[in-house]
Amino acid sequence: MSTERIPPPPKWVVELSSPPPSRSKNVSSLPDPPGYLSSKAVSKKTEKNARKPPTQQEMDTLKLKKSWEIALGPAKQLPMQAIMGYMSGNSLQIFSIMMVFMLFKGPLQAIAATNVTFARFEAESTKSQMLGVKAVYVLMNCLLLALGVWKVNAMGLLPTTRSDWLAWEGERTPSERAYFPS
Amino acid sequence: MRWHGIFSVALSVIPVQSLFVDEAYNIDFHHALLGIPQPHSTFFHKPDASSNAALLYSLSDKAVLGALNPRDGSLVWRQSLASQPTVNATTSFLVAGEGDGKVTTAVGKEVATWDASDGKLVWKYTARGEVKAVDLQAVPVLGSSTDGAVQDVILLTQPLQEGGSYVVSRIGGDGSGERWRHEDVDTKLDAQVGIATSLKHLFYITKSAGLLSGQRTKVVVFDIITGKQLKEYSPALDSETVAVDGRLASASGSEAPLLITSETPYKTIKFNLLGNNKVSTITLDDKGEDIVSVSAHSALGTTAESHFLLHVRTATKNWAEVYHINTATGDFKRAYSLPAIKDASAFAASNNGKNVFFSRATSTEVSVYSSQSHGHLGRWPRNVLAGSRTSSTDPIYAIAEVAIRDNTNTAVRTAIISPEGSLYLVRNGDTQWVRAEMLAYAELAAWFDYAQVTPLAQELSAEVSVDPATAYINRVYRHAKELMHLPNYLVKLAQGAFGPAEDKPSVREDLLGSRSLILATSRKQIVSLSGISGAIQWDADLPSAISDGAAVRSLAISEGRVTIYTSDGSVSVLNATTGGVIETKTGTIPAARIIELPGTPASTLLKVNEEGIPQVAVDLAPSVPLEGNVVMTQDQTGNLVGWTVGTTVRKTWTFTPTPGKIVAVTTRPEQDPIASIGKVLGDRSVLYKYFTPNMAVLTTMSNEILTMYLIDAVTGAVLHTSSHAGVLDSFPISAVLSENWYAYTFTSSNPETNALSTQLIISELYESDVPNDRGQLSAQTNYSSFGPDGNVKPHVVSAAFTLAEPMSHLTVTQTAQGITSRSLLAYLPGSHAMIAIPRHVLDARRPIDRDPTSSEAEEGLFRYTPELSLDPKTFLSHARDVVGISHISAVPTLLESTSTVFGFGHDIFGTQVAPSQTFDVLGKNFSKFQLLATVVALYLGVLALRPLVRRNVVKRGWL
Repeated sequence: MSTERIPPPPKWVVELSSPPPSRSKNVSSLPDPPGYLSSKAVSKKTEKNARKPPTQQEMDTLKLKKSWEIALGPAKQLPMQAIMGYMSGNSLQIFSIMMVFMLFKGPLQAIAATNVTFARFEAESTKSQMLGVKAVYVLMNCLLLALGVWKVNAMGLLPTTRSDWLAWEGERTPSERAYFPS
Repeated sequence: MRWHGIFSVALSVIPVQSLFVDEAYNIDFHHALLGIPQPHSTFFHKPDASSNAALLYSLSDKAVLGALNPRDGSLVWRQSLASQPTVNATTSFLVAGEGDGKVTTAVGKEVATWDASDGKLVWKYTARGEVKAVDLQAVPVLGSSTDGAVQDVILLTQPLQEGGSYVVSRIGGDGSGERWRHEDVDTKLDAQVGIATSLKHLFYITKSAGLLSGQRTKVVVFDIITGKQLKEYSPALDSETVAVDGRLASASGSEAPLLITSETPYKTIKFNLLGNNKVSTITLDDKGEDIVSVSAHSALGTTAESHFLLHVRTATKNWAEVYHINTATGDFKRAYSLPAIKDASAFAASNNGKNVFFSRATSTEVSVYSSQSHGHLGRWPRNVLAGSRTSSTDPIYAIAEVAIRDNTNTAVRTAIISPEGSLYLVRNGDTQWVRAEMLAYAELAAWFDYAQVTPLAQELSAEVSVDPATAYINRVYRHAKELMHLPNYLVKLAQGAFGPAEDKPSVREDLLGSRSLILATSRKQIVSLSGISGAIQWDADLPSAISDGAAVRSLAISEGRVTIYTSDGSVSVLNATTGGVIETKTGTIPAARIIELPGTPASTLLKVNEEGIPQVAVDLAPSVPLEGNVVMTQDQTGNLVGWTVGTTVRKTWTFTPTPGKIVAVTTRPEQDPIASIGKVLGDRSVLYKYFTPNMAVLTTMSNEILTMYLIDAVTGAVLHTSSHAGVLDSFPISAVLSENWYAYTFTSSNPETNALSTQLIISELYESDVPNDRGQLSAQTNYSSFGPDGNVKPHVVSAAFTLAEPMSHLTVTQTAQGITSRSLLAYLPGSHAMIAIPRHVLDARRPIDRDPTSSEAEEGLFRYTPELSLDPKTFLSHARDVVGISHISAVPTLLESTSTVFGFGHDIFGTQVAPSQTFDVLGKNFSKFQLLATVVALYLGVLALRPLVRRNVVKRGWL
């Protein structure tokens, strides 16, 4: 079907090709409706708030501070875990078993992933300091682990007493045997 | 590590386990026995005048009185007359009156009357002086019991010592005691005495060895009512009497009691109608053979006609002669004779009012004759009980009851005793039931495990002996062969899956292992019982090669063979599955006891003679015992002697208790596995147990002082001693030694109050009183009792418990690994019950006068209380009346939790005990069907949800 008459372009095409005239001064003094940001206003604001970037040194201090925070994190868990451990009792129940499991799984995973945790804070200049931070992080996790070990011991799951090795002790064999009439 | 603690805490919550209702009568079996009935004290009798059905009353030769239901052979009631069944109670008597509802017995010096329908004691009379009953007869009642006539009895007692007098006395049937008595001081103890009653008279017969003539018979006639002596005469009868049961007179209690005598070769028989001086002589036709024995049978009723039967036996023939008596003249007339046949016969006389019937039972038929004529009233071939183990055997003697309905229909019930000791009831010709009374004579028992002889066990042991490659090929081949059974197995599995997890004997046998119990009886029989159901599998007599006087001394079972050692030193070997004789070896060295020692080439047998001297049984198999073994025996004076056995046998030590005498020696059970060498305390430290296989506990008594010695049997050194005063040896004293503890029980009287108390003492032995310390030997792995190590004494902790009643025959449960806690097994002679006391209740370390600390509680200890209550709920025998247990034996099963327990002596009782509950079996409420249904339902649920889930997943992908 050949077209004899071209239909007029849609309204939005017209409006796109001829944008509305720039607002007059008077009009521009009027506030925008709430929620509406004219492109002009936005660009103006960012330009105004833009800071100059921090120096490398500041950056390093910041990273170091942040990494110390992470390194000491496990220590903050310590009192809570201790209270939980005390509260859950020493009997073998699902709750105490889960808790002991988490006490072991968390620190071990954390220690294994030490480098990954601190990778984003790594910098050439703070390398030596970071070593200390990591050491403290591992130490803190070891403290948590120690809490786990203490808990396991309290539950009687560590073979630390004589009775735990009783099965490996044998009975003495007599050199002579006595027999009795049946 | 803490599991142990938790487990024991859980146990202490349930301090005593009880038997579950659904276990009773299912896991246990019981043979309630009487012993072999004596012919003179076994009869059919109506329990009271109004009842129609008669019971079979019997007083056995073990002095057990019982009433049997003739319908099914079950016990209606039972009384053990001598408090416990005794062996060879030959002088026991039972009489019944006419319809007064009572039966009267005499055993020893006691006469007792029992209610015939429920077995309750009505009255009891004890004869004066040191006497024993030698005869008891009922006084014929004139008039019926409804008129108030009481059934009196006549008792004849014999003095126990020379110088005493025989006493004939009439005992009132109302319990009023003696009515009159007559003492006879002249008759000597070696005389034969007897009594017989007629309606008006009592005859007291003595037969004593005269000075010149052989024997002199004297009859004294009394008025039965007043006891006045009427006359005395001596009939010319000087030979032995032929009454059926060794009594002097026949037909006592009838109108015409008589004396029948004869002498080998029984050609002539002499008769005397009691009260009449006349002696008649009859010549027997011996049918061309020597007559072996003659016995007389006559009916016992007061109204019965005076007819009797003589049973004549030759080596190959059996026949009977029937005689009629003319009571007025005292003449005897031969009426007819029954045909001579080859089969062994037993005759029984019975009466129905006036009519007298004679029944004849052989191995093949039962026939009934009237005393009037020789034509038989009924004749039935004997049929074996359906599913019965044995064919109908020869009768030794029979007791019959004849019923005639409408003057034509004759029916007879015959109770037949067979030579092997079974009691049969034959109704007409059909066997109704069989009671295996020979089991009441069991003396020794041994367990036979069928697994020893299964082809699989043999193949496995064969695989061990060959080289690995061959064994492997063999195994692959065997598994391939087993695949053939797979379809069958699957079908069975499917059937089993949907059936309930019930407790069929076969299922339990699969779980517990199939064992049978081989018993040796004092009647020289070997009987095999199923260990689960208690059914008799086979019985066999000892081979005839074993001399008559020999008794079975030891039973040993290995590789499917039962080896029987007898006191004459012989050995017989039977097949444990079938009872067939494999071989018999006559030995020359007599043996009182047998010890088996390791030796070369095979294990060595040691025979211990009556003097307690051991000797290698070179007469049976040449073998040299290994050096360094010690054997402990008891010599004639009661001392304990230790012998070192090697190529020579040398005396090493002698143990003489001062003062006193060794009553019993207790050693650890042959199989006594120890799972743990220490006891874990609440704080997880270890108290090390002291044990050695060489321990023995000696029970010694002197002057009411019981002293227990724990000795090392290698050196005879005393490890521990304990003493108790005021102990009565008339009550059972029993000890048991197992693992690291021993327990014993005794009854003592308080010297001030004379109160009796039964105590159970438990002593636990530890290497040291300090936890985590192994004592002087510390970590040494071996030691010699002869070296300095032999000096180590155990640390002993003891506790005493008082019991409400005496306890006997202590034993301990056995499990395969010894992991399950043990229970103490015992018999209660007073309650006729078998019990199991959990070992943790008897812990010697229970805290005294204070509550347990938390660590003690964790260990499972609870506060000590001196009384040990024996709750009937914990009785293994529950409602069963188990009489006369004298041996208890426990063996492990395939399940670690369960031990099979078996008691014998008189009754036979077997059950299973799980001291720590059945932790290795699914409970009965476990439903396989429910489990499978749940699995199937879940699977169907998953199938149903699958499209739904798939749709949801697709939708989530699109939106």
